[in-house]
Amino acid sequence: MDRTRAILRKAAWSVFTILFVIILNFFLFRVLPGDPARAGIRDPRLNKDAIEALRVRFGLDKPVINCFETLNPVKLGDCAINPMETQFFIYVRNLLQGEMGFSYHTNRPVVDILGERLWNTILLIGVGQILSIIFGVAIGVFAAWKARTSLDYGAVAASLVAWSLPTFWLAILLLFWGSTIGLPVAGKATPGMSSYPLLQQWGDIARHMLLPTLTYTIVYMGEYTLIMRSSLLDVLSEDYILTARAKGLNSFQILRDHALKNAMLPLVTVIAINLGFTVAGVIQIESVFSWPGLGNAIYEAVVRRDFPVLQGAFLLIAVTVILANLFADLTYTYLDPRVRVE
Amino acid sequence: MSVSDQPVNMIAEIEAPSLSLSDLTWRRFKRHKMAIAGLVVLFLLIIYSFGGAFFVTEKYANFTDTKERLQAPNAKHPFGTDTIGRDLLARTIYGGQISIIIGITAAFVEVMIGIVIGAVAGYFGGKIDAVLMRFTEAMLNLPQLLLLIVMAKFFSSDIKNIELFGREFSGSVVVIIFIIGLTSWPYLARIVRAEFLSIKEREFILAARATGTPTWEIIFKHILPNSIAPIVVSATLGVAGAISLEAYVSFLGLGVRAPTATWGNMLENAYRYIESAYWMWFFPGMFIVLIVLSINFLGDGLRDALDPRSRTV
Repeated sequence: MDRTRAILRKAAWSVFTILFVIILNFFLFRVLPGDPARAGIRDPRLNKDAIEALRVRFGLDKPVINCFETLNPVKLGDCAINPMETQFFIYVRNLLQGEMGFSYHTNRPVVDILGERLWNTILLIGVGQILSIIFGVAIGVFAAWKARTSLDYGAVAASLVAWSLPTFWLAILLLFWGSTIGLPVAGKATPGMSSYPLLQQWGDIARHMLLPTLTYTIVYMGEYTLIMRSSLLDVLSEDYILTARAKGLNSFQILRDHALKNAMLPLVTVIAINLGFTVAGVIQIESVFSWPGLGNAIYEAVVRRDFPVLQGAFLLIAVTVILANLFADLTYTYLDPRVRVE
Repeated sequence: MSVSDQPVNMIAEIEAPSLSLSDLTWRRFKRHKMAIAGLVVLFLLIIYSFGGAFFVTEKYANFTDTKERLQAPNAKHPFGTDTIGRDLLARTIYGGQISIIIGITAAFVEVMIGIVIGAVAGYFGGKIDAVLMRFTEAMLNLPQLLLLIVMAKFFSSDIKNIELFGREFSGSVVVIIFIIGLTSWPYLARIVRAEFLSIKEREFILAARATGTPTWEIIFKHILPNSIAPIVVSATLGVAGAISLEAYVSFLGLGVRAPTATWGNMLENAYRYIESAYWMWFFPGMFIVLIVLSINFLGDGLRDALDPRSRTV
C-alpha cells in the first residue's frame, strides 16, 4: 500500500534524524571551549596524576575521532588507528548498549539521573497538558460560539496575552503570589516527608505542584484556546453545518455531532508537536520553582559543565521531539483521510 | 456575520483602485485595535529607553552605593534600588536599550541566515534543497532553548568588554546576539523556501529568465520582494522572541554580563528577593512583558494586514 510505504519512509527519516542528532550532539560538546576533564572536575587539590587518572576513567585520553586528537583546539592525529579506540565510536557503541556514561559531578550513571528526573517532568507536563487542553478547548468553544461579542474578544485578548507572556516571568509572578498565601514555592516535597503515610506524601507533592502546574496551564491554555476558536469558526462556516441546521438540529447537537470532531483536528496536531517541545520548554518553569525535573537537571549540568549529563539530556529530548513529530504526522493522516501522506 | 459583509468589502476594494498597496495595508492594519495599541506601547518603550538617556547618565545607572541597597521605591529612587544600591529606574533605561538592540540585531541575524538558506533551497531545488531542508529539520528537532543555554554558558563567559560610541559594553552582548540568531533561523528558512517554491513557477520569473537576467538578480530583485510579507511578519515576531530569550538566558545568569544592564539580567539578582524586594523583579519584568506583548500584537496585526487573502478582521 502507498500509505504503509509513506509511513515507513517517515519512520526511516526519523531514524536518520536521530543519527544526525547523535553526531551533532557528540561533536557539539567536543567543540565547546574547555577541556571536559578540567572543566568538569575543577578541584585545585587534584594533582596531575589524579587528573590523568580521571581522564582515563572518562575515556578522555583517547583521540576524539580518526585523524583528530582534539577538536578544541583542533589537533590533528593519526588517521590509521582503530575506530573503536576513538571517543566517538566508543560513545556510539555505549549508546547502542543503553549507556550514556557517568556524571562528572556525582559519578552516577547518566541513565539513572535522567530516568528519575524524567518522571518528575512527565508528572508536571502530564497534569499541565490535561488541564490546559480541558480549559483551552472549553474556552475556545465558548469564544467561537459567542463570536464577535465582547466575551469573545475578551477571551481572545486574554489568550493572546497568556500565550505571549514570557513563561519564566509568569512563573516569578505566581511564585510571588503563592508565597503570600503560604503555598510551597520550591522543590517537589517537604524535606522529611517520606516518613509520613503515603496519602499525606501525595498531598504534599500536590501542594508543591500547584504553582508550576498553574503556570504551565496558563501558558498552553492560551494557545489551545486560540486554535480551538479559529478552527471551530472555520468549521461552522462549512456547508454541512448549514445542512445540519436545515435538518432542524439545534445548536448543541450541531456542535456535538458535527462541528467539534472536525474542529479538533488542528488542535490534536499542535498538542502532539507540543508534547515533544514541552519537555524542553518546562525548563523555564522548573528553574524558577526548583522542580527536580529534566529541565532543571539540564540547567544544573550547564552550570557544572557536566557534559555527559548534558549529552544524555539533549539526546533524550531530541528523540522525544522526533517521535512526537512522527506521532503528530501519523495521527493527522489517521484522523483526516483527506490528508495524503506525501 | 462576516459572511454577509465580505463581498461588500471586496467590491469596495475593487472599486477603489487609487489606493496603493501600502495604503491598503495601513487601512487593514488600522482595524486591528490591539496592533495599534501594540505600536503605541512599543513606541513609548523606545522613547523611554533611548530618550531617557538624555536625563540619566549611564554612569549613574552603574553607580553603586551600598548604603542605599535594597530600598523600596521612594522619591529619590522611583523604582527602588538593587542589592548593591544601583538605581533601578536608571538601569531599566539603559537595560532597555540593550534589550531592544539585542532583539533587533538578533532578529536581523536570524532573517539573514533564514533568507539565504530558504532562498537557495527553494530556488535551486533538487539535491541542494534536500540537503539544506534535512539540515533545517534536524535543527528544528533540537529545542532552541537548550542549545541557547549551552552555547551561552560556554561562549559568553570570559569575554572582554568592548568600547563603542564612547561607551563600554560587555562583550557577551555580541555573543548573545549571534547565538540567538544562529539558533532561531530554521522556521524562517522554511517559510522563505515555501514562498520561493511557489513564486519561481510564475510567468514573470520565466520572463526574467528568458531575458537572461542573472540568477542572483532573479532571487534578490524579483522573488525576494514578492515574498517579503511573511518575512516581515516573522522578523517582527522574531524580535519579541529574541528579547524574551535574552531575558531568560540572562535571568539564569548565563547571558549578558555586568556592567551592562539588560531587562533580563536585572532579574537575575532579583530571583533571590522575590518575596522581600518585589520592586527588583517587578519593574524590569514589566518592561519585558510590555515589549514582548506589544511586538507580538504588532506582528499579529501585520500578518492580517499584509496577507492579501485575509480581508476581514
